[in-house]
Amino acid sequence: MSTSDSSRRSDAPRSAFSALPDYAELHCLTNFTFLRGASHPGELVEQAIEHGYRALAVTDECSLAGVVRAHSALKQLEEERKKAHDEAVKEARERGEAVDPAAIGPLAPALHLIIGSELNLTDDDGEPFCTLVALAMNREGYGNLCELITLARSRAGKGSYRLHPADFTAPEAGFEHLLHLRDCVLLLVPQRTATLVRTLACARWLARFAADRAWLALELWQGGGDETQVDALRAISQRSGLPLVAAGGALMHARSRKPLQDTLSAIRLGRPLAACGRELAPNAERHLRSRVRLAWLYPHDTLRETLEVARRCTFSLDELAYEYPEELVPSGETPTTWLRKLVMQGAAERWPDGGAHGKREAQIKKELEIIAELKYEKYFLTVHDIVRFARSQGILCQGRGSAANSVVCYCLFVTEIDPVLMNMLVERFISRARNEPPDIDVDFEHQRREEVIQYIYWKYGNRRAALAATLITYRTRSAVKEVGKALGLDATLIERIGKRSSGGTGPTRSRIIWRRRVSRRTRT
Amino acid sequence: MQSPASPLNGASPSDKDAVATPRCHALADSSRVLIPDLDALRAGVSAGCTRSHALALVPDLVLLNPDPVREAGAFDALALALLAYTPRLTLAQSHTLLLEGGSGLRLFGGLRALLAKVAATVADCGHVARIGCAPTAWGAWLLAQSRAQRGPRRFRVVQDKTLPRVLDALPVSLAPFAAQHDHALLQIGCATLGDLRRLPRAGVVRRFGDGVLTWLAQAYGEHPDPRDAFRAPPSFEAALELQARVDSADALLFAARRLVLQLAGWLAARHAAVSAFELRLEHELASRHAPRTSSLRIGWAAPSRDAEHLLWLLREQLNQTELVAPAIGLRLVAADVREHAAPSDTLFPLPEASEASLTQLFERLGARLGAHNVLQLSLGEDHRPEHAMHVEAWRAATRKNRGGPARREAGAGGGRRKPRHGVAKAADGGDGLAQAAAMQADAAHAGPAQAGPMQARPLQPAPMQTPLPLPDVPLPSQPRPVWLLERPLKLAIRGERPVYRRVLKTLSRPERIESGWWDDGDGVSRDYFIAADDQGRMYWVYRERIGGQWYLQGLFG
Repeated sequence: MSTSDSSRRSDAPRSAFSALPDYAELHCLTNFTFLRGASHPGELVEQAIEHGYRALAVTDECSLAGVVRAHSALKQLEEERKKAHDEAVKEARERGEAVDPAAIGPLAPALHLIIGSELNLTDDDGEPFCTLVALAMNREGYGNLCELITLARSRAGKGSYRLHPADFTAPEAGFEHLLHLRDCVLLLVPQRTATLVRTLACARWLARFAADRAWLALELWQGGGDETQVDALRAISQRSGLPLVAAGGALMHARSRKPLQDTLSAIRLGRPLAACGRELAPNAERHLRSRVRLAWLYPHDTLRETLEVARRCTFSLDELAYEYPEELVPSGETPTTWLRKLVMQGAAERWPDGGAHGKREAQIKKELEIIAELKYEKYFLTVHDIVRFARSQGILCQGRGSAANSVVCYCLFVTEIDPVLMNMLVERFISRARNEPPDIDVDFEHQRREEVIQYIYWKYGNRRAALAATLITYRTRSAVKEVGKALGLDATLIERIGKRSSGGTGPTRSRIIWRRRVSRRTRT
Repeated sequence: MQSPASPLNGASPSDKDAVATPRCHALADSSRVLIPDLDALRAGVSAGCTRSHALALVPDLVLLNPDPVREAGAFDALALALLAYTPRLTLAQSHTLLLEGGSGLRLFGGLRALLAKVAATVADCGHVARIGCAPTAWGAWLLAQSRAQRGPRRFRVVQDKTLPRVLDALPVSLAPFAAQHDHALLQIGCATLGDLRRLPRAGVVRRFGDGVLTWLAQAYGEHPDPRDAFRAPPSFEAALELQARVDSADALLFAARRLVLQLAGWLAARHAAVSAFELRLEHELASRHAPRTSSLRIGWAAPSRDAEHLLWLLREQLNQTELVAPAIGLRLVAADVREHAAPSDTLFPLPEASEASLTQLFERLGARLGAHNVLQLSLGEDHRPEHAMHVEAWRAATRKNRGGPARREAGAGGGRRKPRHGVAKAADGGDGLAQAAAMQADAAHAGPAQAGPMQARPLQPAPMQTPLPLPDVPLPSQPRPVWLLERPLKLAIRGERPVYRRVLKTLSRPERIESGWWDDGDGVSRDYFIAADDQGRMYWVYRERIGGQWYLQGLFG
């Protein structure tokens, strides 16, 4: 663990000639922190790559909502860059030049995405206690963080959360494994309205249980008190033992988003912009800044410290894989054997005349092989279990979509079309080349859908089952209405604009399903 | 046991006020002169002589008819004015007011002081009074009626012990029933009240009726004498007709004085205070286009019922107004009457200015200089400095606002710890102002000593050898000056440095302010710096982020 050398106050040199220090942004909000962040996760990732950051931590407030899109955007960007690079190399080769791939448009090191969340702790009186940014270091830390967020959110009404200092030092019954939120890096972000004594107290509190993985964040937004803040935080860092690290506290990816960010604040406060006064940010500094500017603003040792923090966080969303409940497979069987048994049972029922033979058998065999190779047995068993329950209750249900191509699904009574008879291609459903799990959509009878949901909750308990959330976004009309209110426009004018731009019979909602799975390992 | 009461004998209604004309006036009914004025008295006219006799003595004597309505009105007005001294006031016969002054003696500083004040008020109202003071109501009434006011003392004060002796010596003609039984009493040789007392009781009752004995008993303090107090009317409006046309402010003030006194008395009776009144002037029709009435509105910040204060404000206002036409009548209407809460006195009053007297000072300044010339700075909710500091006309903080957002008196210097904090913090940062105000409220209660020195040493790093205790304050932001230019001044550049009379050097890191884009045209995108010239004057300058122009916005005091 590096300690910051606070006896030497390093002034940032103004010249841009010295080599730019590398930087990792550790505190950044996306627009999934509703009405606070003003940029999409993809935009933030793109901007970070452009500035040449080493790492970007996506830390929405008490939520991990933004990380998925950031992750996929990063992947996509990486692919594009790789493709562009490969093309360039190929072209050079075609032209007949001796080529060193590394010399052609250097492939910058990939941006490392760090998963985390910003947590505002309140003490028992409801007064703000401190602000922490928790970054997952590994798979275990990620699980702990997810559980903590769930706990905090389940304690308060929709859209809010409650988290106390005691949840870290003396968690309530059933959550003892969250003690000290292990395997997470914790950054203490000093609150601007808190006194320095208070900040020191919080720093000491944090150092007591997380001294080897906690830092004190220095966020400079050119508010006029920067120099004093650096001094004060160095003093606190020295006294509490937490090293000082630079952070951005970014709410948007570029300075030009400031008007949007102001408008979102106005919408959140429910007042027109002119009446918001000091609740708006005084300047547009809370964006992903260029390294030149960062080098000028921050002491260089704090910038170096960000790399140290980034080095400790090695978790990537790619590490997550589906983990299925154990109870689906009775003792004495393996998932493969159990699935085969069920399939054979189902086949006997489906084709009473002779069971599975010939073409059918061949197909079943082929599919089971693929499933076994890709290890998707449990997925099928899970779906089978639900369908079995529904059918036992007489609830109408049917699979649809590409699942109809699968004979295994047919035998498990998930779908109702005989794919062998219809000559359907199983590769549309599942194949080695696809490298992703198959997707089985099952429709249940609308009136009795609730019973199935209750069965799932009953079987797995409500700590291991959850409904996928629906994310709605502003459509033209609602956006125009809200922005018009924030700008203080006349109500009739807003209506007229809204009517003209939505153009027709009202907005169509596009639903973006965002799956949230409880990723806690099953209990044995 | 009755407390001493002092009745007054109101001498004359208003039309007999001293006016500097050589004419003599006398109040007369159909046959006799009732009351002559001083000039007539000197000439020899006395009350009770016939009209012809009076006219013979003074040929150009003007005989006026008594106007009972106006007399009653004046009497009521006087009663109203005197309500300031006691709530228990009764109107008695022959223009006498009875005031029960026992309860207020301490407040007014003793009996003599009270009597002097009463006499002064009466004089201000334009009347002359004879004052007597006795333990019983009728006793005091008799004393006031008696003309035996010889001696160096201005007032006749009679104590319990001496009351019978003094009353005994008074002539019986003073008694209220004397007019009826005058002849009879004379014939039986009863000349003084003492004689009357010595008469056999049964006989007195048979001859003169029951009332006489009761009256005597009440006068001598042997019988209770409950009186109904004079009640102030529920709303206040007083009018005054002027003798002659008045066109100077001084004369108007003199006339308005008694109206204000009446107002003060009425307010005292109702435990109320007023924060504005309107003086309506009736004008003589000088020409067809001249206005008939005009009005003057006097308002002040904190509700008050102090007659002196009101008069002071009225005087200031009158000095500045020009009458459109000579006034012949005045009417005072009090608007905005409120509950009065008197400031409580501390046991050890400190000599520094209290909140109330500061308020009064500002009201007087406003009255003299004009309300728009006494200004205060107030804080607005905006990041842009020109919108954040508002200069507005001063108005007193309501009770709720004690310790609220910073309210700094323009030009009011030191004094108590509270304003000193305020002035010192005037140089504090914009962001820190709200916190500074909250700290100000805290400082007044808890008084941490560290806040003061912390402000004085802004940007010094703490020495690392001996760790200083961290101050219990939030991070202060860049200081902002109080003196802001109305319009930012564009500065010339010399060798990359801005110049304002001398070359300026920036001392601090930039404070970036980008806000106000929704206010089309007023959007701001600037980097603010504290700059100094080589002679040590500090300025607040900014550079536009787009364009790079340097401007001067403020001066550090």
